[in-house]
Amino acid sequence: MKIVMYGAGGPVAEAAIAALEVQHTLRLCDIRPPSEPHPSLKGDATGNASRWWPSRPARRDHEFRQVDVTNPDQVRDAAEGMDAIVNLTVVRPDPVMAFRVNLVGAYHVMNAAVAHGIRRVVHTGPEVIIDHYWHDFDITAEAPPRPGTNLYLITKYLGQDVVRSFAEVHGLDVVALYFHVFQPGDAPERMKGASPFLVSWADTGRAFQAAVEAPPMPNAYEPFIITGDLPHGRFGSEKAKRLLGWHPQDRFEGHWRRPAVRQGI
Amino acid sequence: MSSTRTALVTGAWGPAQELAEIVARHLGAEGWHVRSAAPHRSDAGHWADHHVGDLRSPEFIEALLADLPGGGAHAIVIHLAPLVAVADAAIAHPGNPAEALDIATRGTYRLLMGCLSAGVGRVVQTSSLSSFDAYEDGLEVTEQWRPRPGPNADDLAPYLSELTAREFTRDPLVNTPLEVTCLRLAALRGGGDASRPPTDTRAMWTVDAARAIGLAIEAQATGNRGSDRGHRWRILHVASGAPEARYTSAIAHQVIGYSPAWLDNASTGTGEGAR
Repeated sequence: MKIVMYGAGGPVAEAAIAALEVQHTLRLCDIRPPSEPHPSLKGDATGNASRWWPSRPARRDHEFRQVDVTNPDQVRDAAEGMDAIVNLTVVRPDPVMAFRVNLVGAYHVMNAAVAHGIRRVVHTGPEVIIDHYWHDFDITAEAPPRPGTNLYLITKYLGQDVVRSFAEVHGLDVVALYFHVFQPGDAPERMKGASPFLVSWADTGRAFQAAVEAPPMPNAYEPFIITGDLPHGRFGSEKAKRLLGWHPQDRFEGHWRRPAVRQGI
Repeated sequence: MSSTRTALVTGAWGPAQELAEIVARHLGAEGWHVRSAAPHRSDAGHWADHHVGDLRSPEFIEALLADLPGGGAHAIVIHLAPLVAVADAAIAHPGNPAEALDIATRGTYRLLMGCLSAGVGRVVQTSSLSSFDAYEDGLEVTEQWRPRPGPNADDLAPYLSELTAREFTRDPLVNTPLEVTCLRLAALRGGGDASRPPTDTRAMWTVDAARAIGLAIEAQATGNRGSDRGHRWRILHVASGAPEARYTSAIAHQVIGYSPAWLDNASTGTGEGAR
């Protein structure tokens, strides 16, 4: 399968590429050229950030195009001849670009899908079902989104609705993967920010592979929570198992044990 | 004598120019100080306190919400800008209608963030009933139906503005959420014979839209949110009120007393309310 990936320069893309490059032909697109490292690779003062990036054991070279997702012509041209689209573009804190990339960019990507007759689009986004459901359990991907006024969450939420409109009207087959926190599956302990909505990089990559290869979905816009099998009972990946055939392998079991148990006391 | 209440009318330009003027005239007659905002200059209209600029600009928002007579607590925003985003984009970004989405959503986001900072707690926002045109014509579509906007700027710009505003009424991390009444309007028609409804079943007279806005402001002032189950977000469909209208205004009639002027003026004597 020939797959175009927008926003191919970030860490989630790295995990996706690692899984997809084994069997598929990739066209990678990003606003930064490959020679310019992603900001999160620059790390903190001690350079620690990069060691948390996913690895690509089967690394190989791919076609690269420099594409600004806010430019409709560049986005459309990059999708020509492709069988599927993966959209990983995102801007978090910038008050202008968050709207332009997360919302208007999503519009351009979906327009490109329609223009080239590409039905399978893998859209990505953050959870927008955490803050408002802070005291709830058994939360599914069908829970109505509640992004609040957080810039990153609300702009991705608006983008999701744009994608859904395109999918429903044009009969596309969109798999929307919702993530929250990532960390290496072999991380010895919980990282800062870890939550009951957590997935390993390797399982993240496998989710993209499953999303691209899965049979047609029941609905034109099909959202999925992508989290490991965690013991909390808050968020579940049952739907992803059932419809995508995705089964997370990293459970982070040691992370949730009492310190005394972990230390063998 | 200066007024202590300010109505800030956005989108006072282009496709919403006439609506803005009628609303402003009505509010001015009731003693409100009217401040207006438009994305582009226009020779049309007579505005006393008029600001031309981009709602997406933090500096423009700050100027717009500065020195409100009576302060923010006595001000209300009449947000018509979502109705003009597509026309705005056609001028500012010719050939790229998707820019209307940025204009509508980021403009709404910036404006409402400014309202939170300035202590302006009440907003009447306008949107479009076009998000329901995908439903079969024979269905009685009400506020209880899910919008189905088409993947085009005309539908998405006002609809996404709605979604943006709704979060400001219910974000648990906002200390004092806004109270927003969103009026989804039928297609506006100016002029014409206002003694009868427009012949286009998806259209309404602009004077009736202005009337609904005035009623929404009055209803908000009562603080009664019972019809909204206590939520700070109120959504109402407002159309021509004609029996053959594509969209019913029945809930707007119940909640804010909306009735089109043509019906009041009609000599039928039936006394029917807006449907």
